[in-house]
Amino acid sequence: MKNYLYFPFLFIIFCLSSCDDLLDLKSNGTITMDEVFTDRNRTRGYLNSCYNYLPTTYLHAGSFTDDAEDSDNTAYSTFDYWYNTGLSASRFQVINFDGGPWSDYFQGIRKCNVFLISIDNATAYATDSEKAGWKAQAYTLRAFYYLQLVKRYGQIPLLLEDYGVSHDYASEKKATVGQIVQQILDDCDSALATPSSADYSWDIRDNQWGIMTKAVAWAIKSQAITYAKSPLFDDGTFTIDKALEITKEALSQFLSNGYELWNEADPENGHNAYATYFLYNPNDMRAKDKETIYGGNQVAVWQNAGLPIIGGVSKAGSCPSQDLVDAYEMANGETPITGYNDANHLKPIINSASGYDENNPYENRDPRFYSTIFYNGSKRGTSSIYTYETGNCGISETNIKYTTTGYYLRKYGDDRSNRNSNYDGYVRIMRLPEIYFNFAEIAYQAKGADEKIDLGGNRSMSACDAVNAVRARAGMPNFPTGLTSDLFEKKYRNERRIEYAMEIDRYFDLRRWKILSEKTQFITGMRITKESDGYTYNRFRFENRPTCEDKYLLYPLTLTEVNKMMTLTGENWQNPGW
Amino acid sequence: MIYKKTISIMLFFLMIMNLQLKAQGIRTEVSGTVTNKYGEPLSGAIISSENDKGLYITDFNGKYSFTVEENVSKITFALIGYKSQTKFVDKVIDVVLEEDAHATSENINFGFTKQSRDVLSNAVSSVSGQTLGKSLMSRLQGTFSGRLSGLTTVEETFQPLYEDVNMYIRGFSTYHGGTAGVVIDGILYDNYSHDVLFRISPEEVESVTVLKDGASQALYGLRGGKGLIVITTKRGIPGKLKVNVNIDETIQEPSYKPYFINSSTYASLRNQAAYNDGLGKNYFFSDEQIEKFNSKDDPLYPNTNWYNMLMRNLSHQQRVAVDATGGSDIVQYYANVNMIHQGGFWHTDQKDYNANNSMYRFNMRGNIDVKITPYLSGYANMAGNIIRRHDPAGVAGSGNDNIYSMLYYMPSTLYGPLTPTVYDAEGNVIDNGGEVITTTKIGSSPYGMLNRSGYYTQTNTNIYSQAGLNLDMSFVTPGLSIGGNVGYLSYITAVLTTTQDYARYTRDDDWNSLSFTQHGTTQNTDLAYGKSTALYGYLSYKGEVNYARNFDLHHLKSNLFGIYQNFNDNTGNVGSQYDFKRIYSGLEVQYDYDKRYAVKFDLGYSGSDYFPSGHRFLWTPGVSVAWIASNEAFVKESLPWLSLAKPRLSYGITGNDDIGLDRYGYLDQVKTSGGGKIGYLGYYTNESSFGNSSLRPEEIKKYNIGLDLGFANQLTLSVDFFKEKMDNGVFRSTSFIPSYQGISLGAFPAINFAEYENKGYEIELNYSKRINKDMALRIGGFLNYNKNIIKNIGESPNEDDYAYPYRSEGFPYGQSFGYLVDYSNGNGMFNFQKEIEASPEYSFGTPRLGDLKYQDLNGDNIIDEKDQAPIGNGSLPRYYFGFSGDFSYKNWELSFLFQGVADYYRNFTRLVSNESIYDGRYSDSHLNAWTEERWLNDEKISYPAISTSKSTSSEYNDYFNKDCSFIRLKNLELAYTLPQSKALKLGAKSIKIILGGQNLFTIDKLKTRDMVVEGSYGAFPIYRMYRLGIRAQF
Repeated sequence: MKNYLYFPFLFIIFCLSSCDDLLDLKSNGTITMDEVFTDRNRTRGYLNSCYNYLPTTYLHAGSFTDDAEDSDNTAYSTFDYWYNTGLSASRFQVINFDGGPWSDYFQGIRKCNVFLISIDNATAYATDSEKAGWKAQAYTLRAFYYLQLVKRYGQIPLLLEDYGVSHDYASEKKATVGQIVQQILDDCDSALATPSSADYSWDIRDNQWGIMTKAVAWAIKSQAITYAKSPLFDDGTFTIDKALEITKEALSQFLSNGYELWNEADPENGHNAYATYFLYNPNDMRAKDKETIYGGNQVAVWQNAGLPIIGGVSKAGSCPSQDLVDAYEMANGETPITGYNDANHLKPIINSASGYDENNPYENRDPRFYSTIFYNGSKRGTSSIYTYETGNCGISETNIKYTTTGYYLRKYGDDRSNRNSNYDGYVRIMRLPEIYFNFAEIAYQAKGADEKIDLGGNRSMSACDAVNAVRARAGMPNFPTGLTSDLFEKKYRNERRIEYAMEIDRYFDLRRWKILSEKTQFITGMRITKESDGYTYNRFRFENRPTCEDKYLLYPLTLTEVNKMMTLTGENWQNPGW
Repeated sequence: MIYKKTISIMLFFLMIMNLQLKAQGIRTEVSGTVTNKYGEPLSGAIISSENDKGLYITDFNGKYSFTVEENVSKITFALIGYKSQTKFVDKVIDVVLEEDAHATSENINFGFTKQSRDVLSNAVSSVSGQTLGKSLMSRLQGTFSGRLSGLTTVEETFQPLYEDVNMYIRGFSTYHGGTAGVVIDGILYDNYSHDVLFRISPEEVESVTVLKDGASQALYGLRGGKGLIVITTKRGIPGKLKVNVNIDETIQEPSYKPYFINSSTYASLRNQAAYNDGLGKNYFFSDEQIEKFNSKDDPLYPNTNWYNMLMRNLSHQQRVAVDATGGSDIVQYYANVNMIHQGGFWHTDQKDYNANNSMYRFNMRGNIDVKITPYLSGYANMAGNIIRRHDPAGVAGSGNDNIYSMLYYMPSTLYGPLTPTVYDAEGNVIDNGGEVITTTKIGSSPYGMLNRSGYYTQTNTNIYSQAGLNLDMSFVTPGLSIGGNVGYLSYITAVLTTTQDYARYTRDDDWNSLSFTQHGTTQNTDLAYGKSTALYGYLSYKGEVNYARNFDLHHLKSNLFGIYQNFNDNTGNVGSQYDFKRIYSGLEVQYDYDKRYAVKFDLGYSGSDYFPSGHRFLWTPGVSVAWIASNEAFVKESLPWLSLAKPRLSYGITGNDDIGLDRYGYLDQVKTSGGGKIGYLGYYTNESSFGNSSLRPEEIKKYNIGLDLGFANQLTLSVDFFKEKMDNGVFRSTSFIPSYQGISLGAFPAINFAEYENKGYEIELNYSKRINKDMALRIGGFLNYNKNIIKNIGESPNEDDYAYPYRSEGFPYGQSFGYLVDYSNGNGMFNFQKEIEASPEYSFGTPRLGDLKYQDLNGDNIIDEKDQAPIGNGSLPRYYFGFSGDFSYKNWELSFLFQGVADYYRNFTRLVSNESIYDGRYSDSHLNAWTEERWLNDEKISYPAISTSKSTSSEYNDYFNKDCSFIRLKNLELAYTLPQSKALKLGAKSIKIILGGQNLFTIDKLKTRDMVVEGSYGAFPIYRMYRLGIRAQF
């Protein structure tokens, strides 16, 4: 009789005993961390994941500098906060255009650390040369991430290991900028010491687009030391001579390894060499494009920073400022506007020797002006662009399709682009002119503008020569010789701004040179009225930007990070002013 | 192995057949009538022998007749609302049942077990399906509001056909939030419980029980923590065939219509906003233009009411339900077929298809009980439904709310919805027009979403079946039985999405001509068809042993069970690639002595695959005791008016495995695949999370103390106080982990350390009296109160100069923070320039005249995040109440239900951001916005100065924290039963005509036409419904 009890009891007992197995996860293809470096593909895959945190490019980078004012200044947009409200530490990473890259880059750094620690003892099949090449990539990448962080945050903690999930943070400290930069230089040196191989060299092969190369490592070194010697970051760790040594060697290396400025114009479509360069896909043109050091993402200027006369345009986007327009020299190399007579920058001081004509302000300017900016009376293909008040592309305060400043962005844009096809160009992350500029920036401080410095390999160059090399491609005459350091600095900084107009470099230059509050308190635009006999030009200024304050020189750490470090270490890690 | 199993199964059946022969004995034929004290026959009275066996029911005339087995000596007569009576078996037994206001004979269903209310020691509340049926809501969960004490319902959305209600038992039991679990006929459905509930029609439901205290939830182990809603479907009862037919026609209308700003007002407000921003008096529109909008006859200056253009005022709902029940003492059945159709509110304008919503739902159920042999019985529940739902594709499927909210973003000054046909001077068409108009800022017009975006049709088929066997083992020892069942639920959705896009046109800036330019890259496209499917299924196995026996005055009932449940999710949701597997088992012992001292002991042991081996099982004991003082002889003698007195105490541990983690939070998740940023590396190894190998289920300790009192068999008072504590809550252990260490904080292992507490009370009062033969009344209500606090989640406090360094710890779940408005000047706004100058600086912009004046709580003369203070009190109402009444006089019945909440705040700061989203959205509130003129003229100002962009008033603040307490007439019903003679003439035993209403009115404190007390802002409002129904019984 007792047998009947058997079934339900069996079931219940079964539940209580053997069921633990029943709830186990059968294999789902995941592995543990220990298993990664036992397999070639997983190891390569891990290196690939180290690349996950590369910076992206921004078409609207200029809108966050004195180069432009964005038309998409609608309420609650990034630009609305940037121009009107300002950002707080907790809001910063939501609103700022490149977010709060703190945790992203540190995640990349940790992965590089894990890779570098593990690769030597990896049992995965790989040749020594492969392992060395992969390692060099990881070193370069780690340096690249640290460079991005130090540019944005200044002092940061220096991690060369994997803390894992249980680590005591009580005695954590931030490293100085000098220490971080030293690490960046060391990492690059470790990478550069690697013999060239298929996995790490100056050039990349087909299908290797995006990887770290010796060129990137040299560019990182050049940029890192230049930043470290900039007013914002210079903590005395590096002498100017050390900086000069690095920047000149970097330049020399690039020049010896076949890097040169793009010099092919496209007269058929009305583009000079400077304009043409940005229109090519650097990956496709790798054999010809010796200027691009790293990166390149295609943009759709026609649509996202377009003219209202193009069908399908969504907004005028980054509208170049009058400040930027004023910064372009005349084609003869003279400075048209040397300053302003009033606090609102509405009355320019005109350099009469330059040939600047207030009533024809867009005549005879630096060729790069015409490649970068659409202005009243300029042409896109066969269409004329009129930015005067009732013109076809007239200025407007309310309609995001129309310019807010009187100008539209032309750089990267191809006149043929429209709703049906996008021929627009590519924004680069690193390109050669910077290497010249970095050298020039250090050289004039170390040796003055004109002293020739031996680059090795039968090359020698002065600060002025380096800048002139960049100007030559644009078709601009050389700087005059005999400039004092102060005068040279002024012209050099302007030159750097012009060459990199609307690129993100200006955003960081304003900070590292500590000229943010001076230059970006407000910007100006140009309101043009059409008269029977021509145009009248009226400058106007925008409201003050709250983001010109000195605290914006460095990014804030997020509030939660600061709170955690306060609790853990008793020290306030927040950057000044936040 | 298989042989062994087969042989044992065959042996098993042989034994049963053998028993069948043995069990044949002498039976007694019993018959009689059950009436009340007025001599009225009572139909539906349940007659049972000892140990709940031999169920029978009285027929329409109160008569019964059946045979009882030889060993039965006593039978019990029970009917809800009456005191049960036990009689010795005789040939004829006529019974007069006495009314019982305290419903002591009600059988409470806990899901796995049952207990009679008179010895109940737990905190539970229950309601009958019949009462729920008074509600006009088509979803079962919609009918719960205000009917069950301890249950807080929050109307989540009133999107037509998707009306959903969130259900919380005693608020939040954990800081993960989350809603109550659902048990249907003894099977727990924890995933998609809302969906599962939706698939049962109120008609099929016998009763709903809410398990509130830990001891009653203990058997549900690690799924019991959030409380349970136990649904019991109707079963057949022996007797003649009984057929009920319900037919309803319901009309639905939005309970309120938001104020739609006309074009001249819009234009003036837009100008006013620009003026406030310092952009001049006529920044957007000139005075002449506003005048032209006002004249309303100039086609160039339209006044487009997008709401009226695209919304209908009424929609319909039809329901037909037929159920049949009956059977013999061998087979009993209950069958139900019902159908509902619900229409939508859209006014569409598309010849090729109609995207307006509609829904058809067809439900079927057959519950059958069979006595296979005198010792072996079985049952099968078979239910299924098909739902066909049709919607505009608008914004991916459930776009109704998106379309609705866009109605109010469309400026009334905008010409629309389509571009006009253009003729030349000779009257020839030169442009067909008919293109959808938007603005440069508005991407999609609601007209386009409704008429040019395609439609979406989904068909859900749902099958629910359950079958079980029960073997009476009284031949081993009286009172012993064993059983088991298998339950299966499958849900399949087939979706047809047709999509279409349309070109957007914007009106050119020149107001003096009606010309349009194409905007953006979209083009008019033809309908494209797409299909997809999703499905999920539950499979549950259960085995149980029951032992119930009375020894004199000792009453003992016990149950031992084990359940294995597998949930297979193929809906594509996160984590759904893995089956969910859980095991529940437990033991319950109910004991009472002479119905005076009752104790119930529960012990659950359950496991979940969320946790690692060795930590995945949880013991959940529970114990509850009650002293039924009113059954003591001395109480009966000395306090005869005290018809019920029962203090109760309970304690239980419940668990929770719904901890907000991905599946398998205990494992590292590292996976290699193709892809990645760098093509030449070929592979991509992703570390997505790190596991905690000692992760455990959360345990919640729950205490309850309660008292039931009854007076003169008329008034019942029930009070319960509870406290719930958790101290091993699962939380990401990242509170003290900075993010620079490089592991994404979201990938960090979660650990058991968080502490949380929830407490509150419920009071229930009920008065019930049959005044005379013709008249009866019942009136009653309940009040819930709950308050929770997050005690420890390892929060790193902000610096000391923050007015409130902690933002979660010490506050209830869902606490908001924002600025407090300084009302010291009366209206809380900057009324003149000097006030702004005297004010601390704002870190988030410069205040203008008419902006809100915030308090500098930390006194550092800067208004910034450091000054933010808690606003409101979490995301749930603290008080929730319902009260209802039923009156009957002769053939007339009137019933009502009010439901409401108190101490409930919601924030409407979003009204401010609306001013600058797209082209500005204005509503009722903005009409009384601050302007200098109003201020100087002392006019009513109930809103800060409006703006074209973000203003400082749009920071989260308490000015817009509104008291959303409300009381709503949820339900009102008037019914008339035809005299029996007339009904019989029509061929029915009874016919009832019903007039009903739902959500008829709401009293709240908002006093505006643009905010609602519940639901999300800018979403479909609750709708009001009117019903005409007929109930016939055959």
